[in-house]
Amino acid sequence: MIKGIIIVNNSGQARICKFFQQVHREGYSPEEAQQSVVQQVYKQVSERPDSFCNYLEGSIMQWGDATKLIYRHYATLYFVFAVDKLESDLGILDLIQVFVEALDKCFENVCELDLIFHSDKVHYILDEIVMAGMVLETNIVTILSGVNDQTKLHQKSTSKLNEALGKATSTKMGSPGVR
Amino acid sequence: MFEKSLQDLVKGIRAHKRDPAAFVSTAIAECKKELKNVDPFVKAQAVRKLTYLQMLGYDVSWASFAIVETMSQPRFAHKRIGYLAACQCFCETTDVVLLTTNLLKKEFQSTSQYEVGLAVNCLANIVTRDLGRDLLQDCTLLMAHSKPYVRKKATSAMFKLFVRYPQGLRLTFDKLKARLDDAEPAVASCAVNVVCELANKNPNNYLSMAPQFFRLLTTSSNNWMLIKVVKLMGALVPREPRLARKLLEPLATIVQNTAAKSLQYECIHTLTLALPYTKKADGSDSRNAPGVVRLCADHLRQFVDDPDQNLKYLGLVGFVELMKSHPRAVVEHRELVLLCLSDDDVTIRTRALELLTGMVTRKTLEDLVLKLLAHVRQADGAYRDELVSRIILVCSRDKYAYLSDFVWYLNVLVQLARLRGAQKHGALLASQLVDITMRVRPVRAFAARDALRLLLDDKLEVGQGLAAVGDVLAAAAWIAGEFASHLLEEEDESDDESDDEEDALPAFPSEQPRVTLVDVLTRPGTTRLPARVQAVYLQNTLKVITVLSSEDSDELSPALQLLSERLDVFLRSGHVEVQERATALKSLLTTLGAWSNAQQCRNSSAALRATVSERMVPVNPKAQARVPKPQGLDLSKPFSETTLTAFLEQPDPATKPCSFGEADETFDAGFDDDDAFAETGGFYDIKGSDDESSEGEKKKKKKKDKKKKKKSSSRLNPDHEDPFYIGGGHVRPGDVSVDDVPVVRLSKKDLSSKKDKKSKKKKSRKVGRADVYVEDSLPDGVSDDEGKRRVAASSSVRGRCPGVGRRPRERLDPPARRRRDAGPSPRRKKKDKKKKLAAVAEDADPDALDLSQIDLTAPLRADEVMPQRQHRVVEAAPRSEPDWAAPAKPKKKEKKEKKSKKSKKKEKAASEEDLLGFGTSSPPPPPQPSGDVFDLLGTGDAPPAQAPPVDALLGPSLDLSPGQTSPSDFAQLLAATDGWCSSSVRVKRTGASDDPIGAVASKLRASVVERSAGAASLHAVAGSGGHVALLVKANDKRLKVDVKASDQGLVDTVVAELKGLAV
Repeated sequence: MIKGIIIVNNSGQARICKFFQQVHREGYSPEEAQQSVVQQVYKQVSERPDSFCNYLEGSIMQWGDATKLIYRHYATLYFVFAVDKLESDLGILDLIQVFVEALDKCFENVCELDLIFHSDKVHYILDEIVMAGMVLETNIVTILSGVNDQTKLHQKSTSKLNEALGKATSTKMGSPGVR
Repeated sequence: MFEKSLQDLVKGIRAHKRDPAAFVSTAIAECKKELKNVDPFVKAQAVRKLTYLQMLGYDVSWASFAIVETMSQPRFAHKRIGYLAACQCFCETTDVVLLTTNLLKKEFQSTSQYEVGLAVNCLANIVTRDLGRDLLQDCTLLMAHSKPYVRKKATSAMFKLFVRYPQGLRLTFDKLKARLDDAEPAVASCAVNVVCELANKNPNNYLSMAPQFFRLLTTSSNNWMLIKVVKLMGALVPREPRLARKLLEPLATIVQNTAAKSLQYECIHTLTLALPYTKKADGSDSRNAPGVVRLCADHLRQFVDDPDQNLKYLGLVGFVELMKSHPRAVVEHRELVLLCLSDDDVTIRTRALELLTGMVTRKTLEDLVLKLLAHVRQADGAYRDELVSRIILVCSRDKYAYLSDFVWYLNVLVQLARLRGAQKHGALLASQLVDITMRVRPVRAFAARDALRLLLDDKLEVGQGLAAVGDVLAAAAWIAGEFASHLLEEEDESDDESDDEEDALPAFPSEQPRVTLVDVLTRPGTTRLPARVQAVYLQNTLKVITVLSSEDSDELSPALQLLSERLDVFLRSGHVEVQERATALKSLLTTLGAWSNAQQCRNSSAALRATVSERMVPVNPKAQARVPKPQGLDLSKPFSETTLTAFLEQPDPATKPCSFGEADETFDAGFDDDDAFAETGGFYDIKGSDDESSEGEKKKKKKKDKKKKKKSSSRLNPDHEDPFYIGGGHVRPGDVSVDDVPVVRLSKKDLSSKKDKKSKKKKSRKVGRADVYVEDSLPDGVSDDEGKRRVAASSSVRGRCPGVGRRPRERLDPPARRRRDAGPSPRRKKKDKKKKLAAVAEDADPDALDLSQIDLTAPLRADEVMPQRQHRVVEAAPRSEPDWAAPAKPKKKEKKEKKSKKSKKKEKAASEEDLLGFGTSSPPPPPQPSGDVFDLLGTGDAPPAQAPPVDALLGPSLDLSPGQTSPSDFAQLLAATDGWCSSSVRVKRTGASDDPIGAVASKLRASVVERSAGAASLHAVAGSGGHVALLVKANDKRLKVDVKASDQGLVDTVVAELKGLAV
């Protein structure tokens, strides 16, 4: 199972965090525990030059001993997947590649700024690839069609909303929430 | 009305890089305001921003309810924002998760596959036990959805449901199994993934499915799925050896044919897992096993050889696994692995190290350790610690089975001990030093010399911290003290050829080495060491004096001289243990008249020896069990009553107050009879009289005891008459003689452990044959070379000796024994587990059930049915009941507090779910008098503070949320909307509330728009979208409320609500 996915940039700022296995830290809120894990991950990953292998073993206590960090470094970003022994080491590296390709297709030459300003969109793409720690889809075509369909649906629903909103502000407040 | 979008927020945070906290707190305040907005667009944007802020580490748990609201919005865009927020922000403790049950249920029915997908995704992320139980059936149905998109999501989600609600596995596994043959490969792949995860929890359940997976393995071409199938097989093989043999061929074929490295690697990995199990029952190996081993080794070599670091790493990992079953196949590639030790990448080095330590043979050990030592000097951090512990591990493995030269190993240990900054292993090094010295007799002289040199090494503590070197120093002190007599032995070889000049140990002081030892042990500088180390130092000083006193040595007087000069510091030590040792040392020497009097010291040599030296022999811990119990001996029978009474009535010397001066007399009384020492050859039985020894101890000492004349036990052991002394039984000497105890002659076979196959005697290159004393050695009494053997307590190194003259009889505790005793044997464990499984199915507490305990092999019982979600109806209490805070269900109270809490929560949740109007399969309950609902929360033990209490206060039919707060907007609203329905109501004031207007506002969850002394206007928005406007006027006697609402039903409900209000 994938226990978490963290995208962190070269200076340690988290761009995307997804915790499929909740982390806990005695005396801290869930958010603080998550931040501490992000910092641990960043510290360990950033120490390694790109010539090193992409695996780090048993390094995040909050996720348990057998957790392995599998990461890839693209330009300014580290894409880190924390996995247990049931995931294939090389398979996850491929999956990261698929994820980044999907991002690239959706954002057209993805760069860090895209991830900064559209973190929710990144989440939507990720949701098509990994669901609650289980690998869902690895075929990039299927992933993209799912993402694109939902983007259209999203836009359609907001444009309708905008019309309604225009009416609502002129005539009455808060259109009744009937489907 | 210009709300910030997510992009604005991000920009803002980036613009305030210096101090984002202030900006973020205003942003959060804005979000809070926006969440109150009725416009779903504004609300959704606020939730979206909060999701982002959560990722940055800000607590947004206060917005959970708004997130649920956003999830329930009709528009896809809003839903999506809400669902994402829920996945990111909800955790196990989020209470509003309970509110999502109906919401998700409804979403599952959506015609849009993407809306269903959103809901399934959300469920998989936020599922709790309750949610899992309530939605198990719905999710199971979704696995057969017409759209593959939904099927694969639902299938994957099942695993998370099972984790939270393990009972569900047995109920729905057939449906999951059916997905393995799904027409859509992605769905089948997800199903395999789920089974693989499940098999990791409990492989036994899935053995019967092996043929199905085997078929997938040979027919499928989907690499992702194949990888998972191969992983799954890896989990199954240890449980089914036949499968292991069968797998060899197809996996080998894939290894040879596939182009995908990932699949190839996983196949090799599973092959290495299967290889240990391919042996047939008759002992012969599978026909193609050697070929497969070769294939694996060759491919792994290619991986390690690959310039890609990832493949190199994986190759090493694969070798580690292969080595477990076929070490020879791996040893061939030793040179290649050695190269990896010089890799820059620490992950690779660590793996190579692991591999190398497994490859060690007697021939290669020294070579390898020297290489590792060279690496230790360059390494740092955790890797260095790893190296040190690996070196010790390879050398000491299997009771030093691979070690041929102990002097060399001592050298290695000393080198490691002197490494700067690597003292994390101080304790380990110390125990090894002591262990070797004790077990291997011929190295004692070397060890004692090296120990003294270590003590003399003032560079040792530089840069390491005293606490860190403490362990090693204590060990060195103990070795030097214990074997001080060996310090004079000539060393035939010149010192340590391996040491380079600048880093050499201080030279051995050949002139008066023992005086030097006393000197170094009592230097004022030692007071900086940890107390336990100082205590060991002092104790060993005594031992050195003892040794000197028994020899005709000219070192004695200078040593005593030194001691008398230096002991003062220790006598005043702040550490009790140190002070106690020093005092004991001084008192002892003073008592014997040996305090700075060498001649007298020599005379009392025997007494001194009695205090510190004692013959102890290693005894197999199982030896006692092999001694048959003598006939007629009833160990459970109490000793004679009369003896005990007589004993207790004796005058008690210990009750007298005793000062130091008097203590001297006591010592005199104890040791005035030197003849007694002479008789026993200086050996005193520490435990005193025979009767106090346990049967086992008698056994060990029987030879000596036979020789020994019986002595007055009260003399030998003043403790004996002390009622506070906890010895053995209270039998007086003479009641039972040792000779009366039936003695069984033990043979070697009886005492040596079964596992003692290997010879434990190792040859030393330099010192000839070296005997290694291992725990399995024979006891003195039965061994023919008893004279040679002498093993002393190891524990005194730790400085925990209880006191002068009594040394603990702790034996060595080699790892082998620990391993054996660690727990029940695997076979037994398995049996236990089976029992457990059977028990679990029937009567285990379902809440405590873990997924690994679920047994799929048993058929479903009649009571195991798919959980049906039932509407939890709140029991109505009569409205007129005056004490509305009394429990509605007295039975509930009797149950455990925890349980009642939980059920209350559930009921509360049920009522809240209805509030949201998400539509349930059953009709909502009729409006409840508010008191009853409140009742569920307000009964004391469950504080309702965390949940939005106002919600719970509302009657189930009324769903209002705060509306406008700005008077002008409110006025506009009143003007803009036509067709208001209105009514008015008067309520008598009972004086229950000081603030009647506030009470009305909180009751209706309305916001106060304007307020004057006796009147206020309120506004609230209904869940259906309607508005409620109120004008409240209050005087001392009554309250008048004018109600306006967008529809008549709402007016009526509000009026009814207000009538029941007590103000």
